[in-house]
Amino acid sequence: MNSYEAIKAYIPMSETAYYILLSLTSPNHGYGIMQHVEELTSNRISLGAGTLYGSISKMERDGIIRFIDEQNKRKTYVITALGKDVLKTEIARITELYLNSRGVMEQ
Amino acid sequence: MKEIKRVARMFLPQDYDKEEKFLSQMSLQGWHFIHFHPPVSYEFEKTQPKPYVYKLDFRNKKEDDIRSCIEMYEECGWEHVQEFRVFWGVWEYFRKESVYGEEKELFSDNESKIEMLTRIRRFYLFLGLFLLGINAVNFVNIMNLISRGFMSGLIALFIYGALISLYVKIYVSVSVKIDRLKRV
Repeated sequence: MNSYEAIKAYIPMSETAYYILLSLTSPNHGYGIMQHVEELTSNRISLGAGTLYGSISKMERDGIIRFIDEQNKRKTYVITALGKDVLKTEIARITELYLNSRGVMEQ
Repeated sequence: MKEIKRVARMFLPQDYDKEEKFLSQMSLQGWHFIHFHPPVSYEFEKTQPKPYVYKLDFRNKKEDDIRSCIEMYEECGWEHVQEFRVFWGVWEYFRKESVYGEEKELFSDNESKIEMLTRIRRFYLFLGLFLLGINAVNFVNIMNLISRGFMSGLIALFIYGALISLYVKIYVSVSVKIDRLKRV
Protein backbone atom coordinates (compact mmCIF):
# COMPACT_ATOMS: atom_id res chain seq x y z
CA MET A 1 0.00 0.00 0.00
CA ASN A 2 1.20 3.52 -0.68
CA SER A 3 0.43 6.44 1.57
CA TYR A 4 -2.62 7.52 -0.45
CA GLU A 5 -4.18 4.04 -0.45
CA ALA A 6 -3.49 3.50 3.26
CA ILE A 7 -5.05 6.83 4.22
CA LYS A 8 -8.06 6.05 2.06
CA ALA A 9 -8.46 2.60 3.58
CA TYR A 10 -7.94 3.52 7.23
CA ILE A 11 -9.45 6.98 7.67
CA PRO A 12 -11.73 7.62 9.46
CA MET A 13 -10.31 5.04 11.83
CA SER A 14 -12.20 2.80 14.23
CA GLU A 15 -11.41 3.33 17.91
CA THR A 16 -9.88 -0.14 17.98
CA ALA A 17 -7.50 0.58 15.11
CA TYR A 18 -6.65 4.03 16.41
CA TYR A 19 -5.69 2.85 19.88
CA ILE A 20 -3.74 -0.13 18.58
CA LEU A 21 -1.75 2.13 16.27
CA LEU A 22 -1.21 4.61 19.08
CA SER A 23 0.08 1.79 21.30
CA LEU A 24 2.55 0.76 18.62
CA THR A 25 4.34 4.09 18.37
CA SER A 26 6.80 2.21 20.54
CA PRO A 27 7.36 -1.57 20.15
CA ASN A 28 4.73 -3.64 21.90
CA HIS A 29 3.14 -7.10 21.92
CA GLY A 30 -0.52 -8.13 21.90
CA TYR A 31 -1.11 -8.30 25.65
CA GLY A 32 0.88 -5.09 26.14
CA ILE A 33 -1.35 -3.30 23.64
CA MET A 34 -4.44 -4.56 25.46
CA GLN A 35 -3.19 -3.25 28.82
CA HIS A 36 -2.03 0.04 27.34
CA VAL A 37 -5.44 0.70 25.78
CA GLU A 38 -7.19 -0.14 29.08
CA GLU A 39 -4.94 2.36 30.87
CA LEU A 40 -5.45 5.09 28.28
CA THR A 41 -9.23 4.74 28.35
CA SER A 42 -9.64 3.94 32.08
CA ASN A 43 -10.99 0.49 31.10
CA ARG A 44 -13.63 1.90 28.80
CA ILE A 45 -12.12 -0.08 25.95
CA SER A 46 -10.96 -3.59 26.68
CA LEU A 47 -9.79 -5.16 23.45
CA GLY A 48 -10.78 -8.76 22.84
CA ALA A 49 -8.02 -11.15 21.80
CA GLY A 50 -9.75 -11.94 18.52
CA THR A 51 -10.29 -8.28 17.70
CA LEU A 52 -6.63 -7.63 18.48
CA TYR A 53 -5.45 -10.53 16.33
CA GLY A 54 -7.63 -9.49 13.40
CA SER A 55 -6.52 -5.85 13.49
CA ILE A 56 -2.84 -6.64 13.93
CA SER A 57 -2.70 -9.17 11.09
CA LYS A 58 -4.57 -6.80 8.78
CA MET A 59 -2.32 -3.87 9.67
CA GLU A 60 0.77 -6.01 9.18
CA ARG A 61 -0.50 -7.13 5.77
CA ASP A 62 -1.12 -3.52 4.76
CA GLY A 63 2.33 -2.47 5.94
CA ILE A 64 1.26 0.11 8.50
CA ILE A 65 2.86 -1.91 11.32
CA ARG A 66 5.64 -4.47 11.14
CA PHE A 67 6.72 -7.52 13.10
CA ILE A 68 10.02 -7.05 14.98
CA ASP A 69 10.73 -10.23 16.92
CA GLU A 70 9.26 -13.07 18.93
CA GLN A 71 10.13 -13.98 22.50
CA ASN A 72 8.39 -16.68 24.54
CA LYS A 73 5.70 -16.91 21.85
CA ARG A 74 5.07 -13.18 22.19
CA LYS A 75 5.32 -11.28 18.96
CA THR A 76 6.42 -7.68 19.08
CA TYR A 77 5.23 -5.13 16.54
CA VAL A 78 5.93 -1.47 15.80
CA ILE A 79 4.40 1.22 13.60
CA THR A 80 6.03 1.81 10.18
CA ALA A 81 6.69 5.10 8.37
CA LEU A 82 3.52 4.46 6.38
CA GLY A 83 1.62 3.84 9.62
CA LYS A 84 2.91 7.14 11.01
CA ASP A 85 1.54 8.96 7.93
CA VAL A 86 -1.85 7.36 8.53
CA LEU A 87 -1.80 8.13 12.25
CA LYS A 88 -0.78 11.79 11.66
CA THR A 89 -3.63 12.24 9.19
CA GLU A 90 -6.10 10.75 11.65
CA ILE A 91 -4.81 12.89 14.51
CA ALA A 92 -5.27 15.98 12.31
CA ARG A 93 -8.85 14.87 11.59
CA ILE A 94 -9.64 14.28 15.25
CA THR A 95 -8.06 17.61 16.18
CA GLU A 96 -10.31 19.34 13.68
CA LEU A 97 -13.35 17.61 15.20
CA TYR A 98 -12.25 18.69 18.62
CA LEU A 99 -11.54 22.31 17.67
CA ASN A 100 -14.83 22.64 15.82
CA SER A 101 -16.80 21.34 18.78
CA ARG A 102 -15.08 23.39 21.47
CA GLY A 103 -17.36 25.85 23.11
CA VAL A 104 -20.48 24.69 21.30
CA MET A 105 -22.19 23.25 24.36
CA GLU A 106 -21.41 26.27 26.52
CA GLN A 107 -23.75 28.57 24.62
CA MET B 1 -10.96 -42.35 39.39
CA LYS B 2 -11.90 -39.78 36.82
CA GLU B 3 -15.56 -39.31 36.26
CA ILE B 4 -16.30 -38.87 32.57
CA LYS B 5 -19.61 -38.03 30.98
CA ARG B 6 -20.61 -37.88 27.37
CA VAL B 7 -23.38 -35.63 26.20
CA ALA B 8 -25.02 -35.91 22.81
CA ARG B 9 -25.51 -32.55 21.15
CA MET B 10 -25.57 -31.46 17.57
CA PHE B 11 -23.11 -28.75 16.65
CA LEU B 12 -24.73 -26.08 14.49
CA PRO B 13 -22.37 -23.39 13.21
CA GLN B 14 -24.99 -20.64 13.45
CA ASP B 15 -25.53 -21.47 17.14
CA TYR B 16 -21.91 -21.26 18.25
CA ASP B 17 -22.92 -18.71 20.89
CA LYS B 18 -25.37 -21.20 22.41
CA GLU B 19 -22.50 -23.68 22.38
CA GLU B 20 -20.38 -21.26 24.40
CA LYS B 21 -23.16 -20.84 26.98
CA PHE B 22 -23.76 -24.58 27.17
CA LEU B 23 -20.07 -25.30 27.89
CA SER B 24 -19.88 -22.48 30.45
CA GLN B 25 -22.97 -23.77 32.26
CA MET B 26 -21.57 -27.31 32.36
CA SER B 27 -18.40 -25.93 33.98
CA LEU B 28 -20.44 -24.24 36.68
CA GLN B 29 -21.80 -27.67 37.57
CA GLY B 30 -18.27 -29.06 37.70
CA TRP B 31 -18.35 -30.73 34.30
CA HIS B 32 -15.38 -29.44 32.34
CA PHE B 33 -15.24 -29.82 28.63
CA ILE B 34 -12.44 -32.08 27.38
CA HIS B 35 -13.24 -32.96 23.84
CA PHE B 36 -15.78 -32.76 21.11
CA HIS B 37 -16.09 -35.88 18.98
CA PRO B 38 -17.86 -34.76 15.81
CA PRO B 39 -20.62 -34.77 14.97
CA VAL B 40 -22.59 -35.15 18.22
CA SER B 41 -20.55 -36.25 21.23
CA TYR B 42 -19.22 -33.96 23.96
CA GLU B 43 -16.91 -35.34 26.59
CA PHE B 44 -16.76 -33.82 30.06
CA GLU B 45 -14.72 -34.51 33.13
CA LYS B 46 -16.01 -33.97 36.69
CA THR B 47 -13.95 -31.81 39.02
CA GLN B 48 -14.62 -28.73 41.13
CA PRO B 49 -17.17 -26.32 39.68
CA LYS B 50 -15.37 -23.34 38.13
CA PRO B 51 -16.78 -20.27 36.44
CA TYR B 52 -15.12 -20.83 33.09
CA VAL B 53 -16.10 -18.68 30.14
CA TYR B 54 -15.94 -20.63 26.90
CA LYS B 55 -15.54 -18.92 23.54
CA LEU B 56 -15.34 -20.15 19.98
CA ASP B 57 -13.50 -18.64 17.08
CA PHE B 58 -13.82 -19.71 13.50
CA ARG B 59 -10.84 -19.43 11.17
CA ASN B 60 -9.97 -20.31 7.65
CA LYS B 61 -6.69 -22.19 7.25
CA LYS B 62 -6.15 -20.67 3.83
CA GLU B 63 -6.37 -17.11 5.13
CA ASP B 64 -5.24 -17.18 8.73
CA ASP B 65 -2.05 -18.17 10.45
CA ILE B 66 -3.78 -20.39 13.02
CA ARG B 67 -0.68 -20.84 15.17
CA SER B 68 -0.06 -17.14 15.71
CA CYS B 69 -3.78 -16.63 16.26
CA ILE B 70 -3.79 -19.18 19.10
CA GLU B 71 -0.60 -17.68 20.52
CA MET B 72 -2.17 -14.25 20.61
CA TYR B 73 -5.19 -15.64 22.48
CA GLU B 74 -2.96 -17.44 24.95
CA GLU B 75 -1.00 -14.25 25.46
CA CYS B 76 -4.27 -12.58 26.43
CA GLY B 77 -5.05 -15.25 29.02
CA TRP B 78 -7.17 -17.69 27.04
CA GLU B 79 -6.57 -21.42 27.31
CA HIS B 80 -6.84 -23.31 24.05
CA VAL B 81 -9.11 -26.29 24.70
CA GLN B 82 -9.80 -27.88 21.37
CA GLU B 83 -9.61 -27.57 17.64
CA PHE B 84 -12.40 -28.92 15.49
CA ARG B 85 -11.52 -29.07 11.81
CA VAL B 86 -13.98 -29.07 8.95
CA PHE B 87 -12.01 -29.34 5.72
CA TRP B 88 -10.14 -26.03 5.51
CA GLY B 89 -12.17 -24.39 8.27
CA VAL B 90 -11.31 -24.64 11.96
CA TRP B 91 -13.34 -24.05 15.09
CA GLU B 92 -11.08 -23.07 17.96
CA TYR B 93 -12.38 -23.54 21.51
CA PHE B 94 -10.97 -21.32 24.23
CA ARG B 95 -11.72 -20.86 27.88
CA LYS B 96 -10.80 -18.49 30.65
CA GLU B 97 -11.68 -18.41 34.31
CA SER B 98 -14.24 -15.69 34.75
CA VAL B 99 -12.73 -12.84 36.76
CA TYR B 100 -14.77 -9.75 37.56
CA GLY B 101 -13.85 -6.79 35.36
CA GLU B 102 -11.74 -8.78 32.94
CA GLU B 103 -12.50 -8.96 29.23
CA LYS B 104 -14.62 -12.04 28.57
CA GLU B 105 -15.22 -11.62 24.87
CA LEU B 106 -12.92 -12.57 22.02
CA PHE B 107 -14.35 -9.80 19.90
CA SER B 108 -14.78 -6.42 21.50
CA ASP B 109 -16.12 -4.40 18.57
CA ASN B 110 -18.90 -4.89 16.06
CA GLU B 111 -16.54 -4.88 13.12
CA SER B 112 -14.61 -7.94 14.28
CA LYS B 113 -17.83 -9.74 15.31
CA ILE B 114 -19.18 -9.20 11.81
CA GLU B 115 -15.89 -10.40 10.32
CA MET B 116 -16.12 -13.67 12.23
CA LEU B 117 -19.73 -14.25 11.16
CA THR B 118 -18.76 -13.44 7.57
CA ARG B 119 -16.00 -16.07 7.74
CA ILE B 120 -18.53 -18.63 8.96
CA ARG B 121 -21.07 -17.71 6.29
CA ARG B 122 -18.59 -17.78 3.43
CA PHE B 123 -17.03 -21.06 4.51
CA TYR B 124 -20.32 -22.95 4.92
CA LEU B 125 -21.63 -21.52 1.67
CA PHE B 126 -18.58 -22.83 -0.19
CA LEU B 127 -18.73 -26.13 1.68
CA GLY B 128 -22.40 -26.57 0.81
CA LEU B 129 -21.81 -25.81 -2.85
CA PHE B 130 -18.72 -28.03 -2.89
CA LEU B 131 -20.63 -30.99 -1.43
CA LEU B 132 -23.46 -30.38 -3.85
CA GLY B 133 -20.98 -30.33 -6.73
CA ILE B 134 -19.21 -33.58 -5.88
CA ASN B 135 -22.57 -35.27 -5.33
CA ALA B 136 -24.01 -34.18 -8.66
CA VAL B 137 -23.47 -37.67 -10.09
CA ASN B 138 -25.33 -39.25 -7.18
CA PHE B 139 -28.17 -36.87 -7.76
CA VAL B 140 -28.54 -38.13 -11.34
CA ASN B 141 -28.53 -41.71 -10.02
CA ILE B 142 -31.17 -40.90 -7.45
CA MET B 143 -33.41 -39.42 -10.13
CA ASN B 144 -32.95 -42.59 -12.19
CA LEU B 145 -33.95 -44.73 -9.22
CA ILE B 146 -37.03 -42.64 -8.63
CA SER B 147 -38.06 -42.73 -12.28
CA ARG B 148 -37.83 -46.53 -12.13
CA GLY B 149 -40.02 -46.53 -9.04
CA PHE B 150 -37.49 -47.47 -6.34
CA MET B 151 -38.32 -46.43 -2.78
CA SER B 152 -34.59 -46.08 -1.99
CA GLY B 153 -34.45 -43.22 -4.48
CA LEU B 154 -37.07 -41.28 -2.55
CA ILE B 155 -35.28 -41.85 0.73
CA ALA B 156 -32.01 -40.64 -0.78
CA LEU B 157 -33.77 -37.60 -2.21
CA PHE B 158 -35.19 -36.85 1.21
CA ILE B 159 -31.70 -36.98 2.78
CA TYR B 160 -30.49 -34.72 0.02
CA GLY B 161 -33.20 -32.20 0.64
CA ALA B 162 -32.53 -32.27 4.38
CA LEU B 163 -28.84 -31.56 3.83
CA ILE B 164 -29.53 -28.73 1.43
CA SER B 165 -32.01 -27.13 3.80
CA LEU B 166 -29.45 -27.47 6.61
CA TYR B 167 -26.96 -25.41 4.61
CA VAL B 168 -29.61 -22.89 3.61
CA LYS B 169 -30.56 -22.61 7.30
CA ILE B 170 -26.92 -21.94 8.25
CA TYR B 171 -26.65 -19.24 5.60
CA VAL B 172 -29.88 -17.52 6.56
CA SER B 173 -29.32 -17.66 10.33
CA VAL B 174 -25.78 -16.29 10.09
CA SER B 175 -26.98 -13.55 7.73
CA VAL B 176 -29.66 -12.54 10.23
CA LYS B 177 -26.97 -12.26 12.93
CA ILE B 178 -24.80 -10.12 10.64
CA ASP B 179 -27.70 -7.81 9.76
CA ARG B 180 -28.57 -7.38 13.42
CA LEU B 181 -25.01 -6.28 14.20
CA LYS B 182 -24.88 -3.95 11.20
CA ARG B 183 -27.98 -2.14 12.42
CA VAL B 184 -26.39 -1.33 15.78
